[in-house]
Amino acid sequence: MDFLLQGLPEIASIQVFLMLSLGLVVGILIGSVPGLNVPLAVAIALPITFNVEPIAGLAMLVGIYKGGTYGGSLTAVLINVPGTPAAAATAIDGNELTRQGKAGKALKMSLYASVFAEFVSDIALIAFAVPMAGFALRIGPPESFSLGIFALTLVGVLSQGNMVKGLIAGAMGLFLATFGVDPLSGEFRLTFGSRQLAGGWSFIALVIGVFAIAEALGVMESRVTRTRSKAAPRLDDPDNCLTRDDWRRSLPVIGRSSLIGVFIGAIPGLGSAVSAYLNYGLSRSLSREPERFGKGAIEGVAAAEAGNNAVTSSTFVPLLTLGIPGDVITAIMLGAFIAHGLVPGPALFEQQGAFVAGFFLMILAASVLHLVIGRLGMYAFIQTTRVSNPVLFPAVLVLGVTGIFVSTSSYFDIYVMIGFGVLGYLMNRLGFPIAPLLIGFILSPLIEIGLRQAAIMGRGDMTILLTRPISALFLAFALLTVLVVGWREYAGRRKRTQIQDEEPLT
Amino acid sequence: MKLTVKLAGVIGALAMATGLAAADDYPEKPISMIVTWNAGGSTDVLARLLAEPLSKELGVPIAVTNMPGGGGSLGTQAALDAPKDGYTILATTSGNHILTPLKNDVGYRYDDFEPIGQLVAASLILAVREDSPWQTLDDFIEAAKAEPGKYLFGAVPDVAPHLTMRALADAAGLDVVHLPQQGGAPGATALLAGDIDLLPANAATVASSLKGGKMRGLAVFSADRDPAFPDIPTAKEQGYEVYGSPFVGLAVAKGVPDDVLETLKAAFDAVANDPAFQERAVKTVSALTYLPADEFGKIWERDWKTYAPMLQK
Repeated sequence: MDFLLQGLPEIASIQVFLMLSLGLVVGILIGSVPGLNVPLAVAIALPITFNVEPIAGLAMLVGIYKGGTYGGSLTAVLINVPGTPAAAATAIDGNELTRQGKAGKALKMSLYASVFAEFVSDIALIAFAVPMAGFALRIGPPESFSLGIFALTLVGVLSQGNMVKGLIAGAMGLFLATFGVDPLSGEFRLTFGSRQLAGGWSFIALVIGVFAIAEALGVMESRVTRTRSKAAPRLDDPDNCLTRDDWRRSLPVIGRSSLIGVFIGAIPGLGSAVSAYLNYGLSRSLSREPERFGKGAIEGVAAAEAGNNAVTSSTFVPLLTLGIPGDVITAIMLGAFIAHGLVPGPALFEQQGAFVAGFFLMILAASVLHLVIGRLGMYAFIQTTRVSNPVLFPAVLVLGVTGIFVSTSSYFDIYVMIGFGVLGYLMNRLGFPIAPLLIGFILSPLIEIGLRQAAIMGRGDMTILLTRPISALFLAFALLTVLVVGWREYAGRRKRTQIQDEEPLT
Repeated sequence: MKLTVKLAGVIGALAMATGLAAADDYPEKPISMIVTWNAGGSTDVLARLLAEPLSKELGVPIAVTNMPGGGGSLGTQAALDAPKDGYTILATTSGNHILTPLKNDVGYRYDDFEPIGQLVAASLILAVREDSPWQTLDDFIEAAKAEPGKYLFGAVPDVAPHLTMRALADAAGLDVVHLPQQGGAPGATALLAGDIDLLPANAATVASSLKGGKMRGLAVFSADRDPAFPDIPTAKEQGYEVYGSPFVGLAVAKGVPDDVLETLKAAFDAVANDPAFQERAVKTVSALTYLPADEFGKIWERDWKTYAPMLQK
């Protein structure tokens, strides 16, 4: 506590709070627009931060990061188009709630789950940064592979009742991610001589395609029932408030997802999308009522949102303790630290204790402001439900196309997005779930790189996957998940055939 | 019909007028600076730092445009395909400019471009963990000779640190195993975690670990010691003439009018030699190693010749 108090003078300025609030507002807006991504916003904001106090500059970047990670959930809930890849898991149950006229409920849960997870992450960073860094270093290639396999088995959980189609979608995701540059040899692979494909399929184009374009194509089919705006749901309407029952279902899920998310954030190279899906899948497989998921389960929103925001502070663990950035955003922030003469790493705590304490307090303040700004912003964002589809979706398409172009300046990626839109539309029509496709795509490099690196480390002896204890533990989890899912699937079939058997008798 | 012809005439005249004006009045509209790597990488941050003073010098805005993918080849090709009017400039690096075209069939060569100037030539440092028994390059070489195939080094495949390590292994007759990495930071993490024994890396990647005492530098692969790390001897001092020094600089496609090129060179020289910009760059990314256009062009030629035998099949 004394340590933290010496940071008070660092952040006790109007400038810090203005920059923090500005960052949060910008972040939430950028995050909510499909295609505009948080790393780009942070990179653009970096030069601006040189003109203010170091802590105020970092406040703006942290604001953009936290706001952006949360902002993706707004459009995911409201129009089934996740603003960031990490919010794709939120869309599954969040948008279902919107369809049931309970948008306010989903929005509130996603904000409260996000902010709660942030606080857990803040406290973990402040209190346990050094031991967490030690843990993160133990996640080497064999562990990455095994964690990836464990996360992949959750595809099975998400596909229950629809196992074959879910597994096909998951395999498709795994395969699509292998295009482009071979991560271990640097050779081009599966590019068919196309220079454009040398970059692989763009993940943002994939996400916007299978959600925004596919959704727009689906909407085009439906008859236009209203072209005028209707009233948005009132946030204090009983259907849009969180009930005691909602909290009872969600609180344990938020707690678990926050803790798991914090650890994932501390491990370099995993990130918020992995955390969101892992926690969503895990919550579904551990739930006593897994059948609620996908049909508007409030705890599904809670799991995904707590999962993706829980990484936002713990991701500073490797940066502050080892001086090594764990992802693109902390890499940019490393630049911001160094620009102000602060070299992250073990020495920073000793030489600049007051500054580090100020940084920690600022991160806590960011979570408080996030709650306030997010709650106020809800009044504005829920208005999108008033806009009728013939107006809304063309606007979403324009934003999607612009967003993609801003990130990569590539027409090719726009065509890729449209292609994936058609794929997503067909998948929706034929009853293939979208989520496994994205999970496969996210996990593919983790699994491939982990396995091939582990093979080199073991000089071809793959028992390294079992002799390293954390790796063995993840593989055991994976096996357990397969058994549980297999049993549920088997039991579900038996139930269905029994019903069929009995029907002719009645 | 008449109207169309008239319109066409007017448009044609306008086009000619602007075409003629382009050379004299350059620059008169925003310039796009292509970065062939992702937003937030060290090249990107450097390009954004450079764009601000350079745009003041030229009097027009400069938009930094990230075109990542294909080992940097997508953005490089885009710079070549753009109109050769000087409104598209390329923030170019050893990776996209030399290594990728040598290794892959990308359809361009280093000499399809005109150099504007070099901004950075990074030092490559061979780093080990603080608890490593090796104090000098010879300690490591002795150990590696005693147990061929035992020691692992981490590096992104076929970039300067990897190729330099290969050159060292060839020069000393060593058998060390390459564990491919996905970037500088993952490599540094792998070294600290003990998954690898050695890390050849850009100085910026390992700077905080070296200063914080978590890593130790065995050698730097430059002609002279790095002023930021004066205690680390060069490989040459220790008897191995192995060099590697990845560059970042500016280039434009060949065919840009001479006066436009001169304007760009003059503006770049002014900014790169401005102490305020140098100080900002040192603090953020790395120390500048400014070289004027003609010498930067010689670096391209030298690196192309050095790496061709290692990469071409």
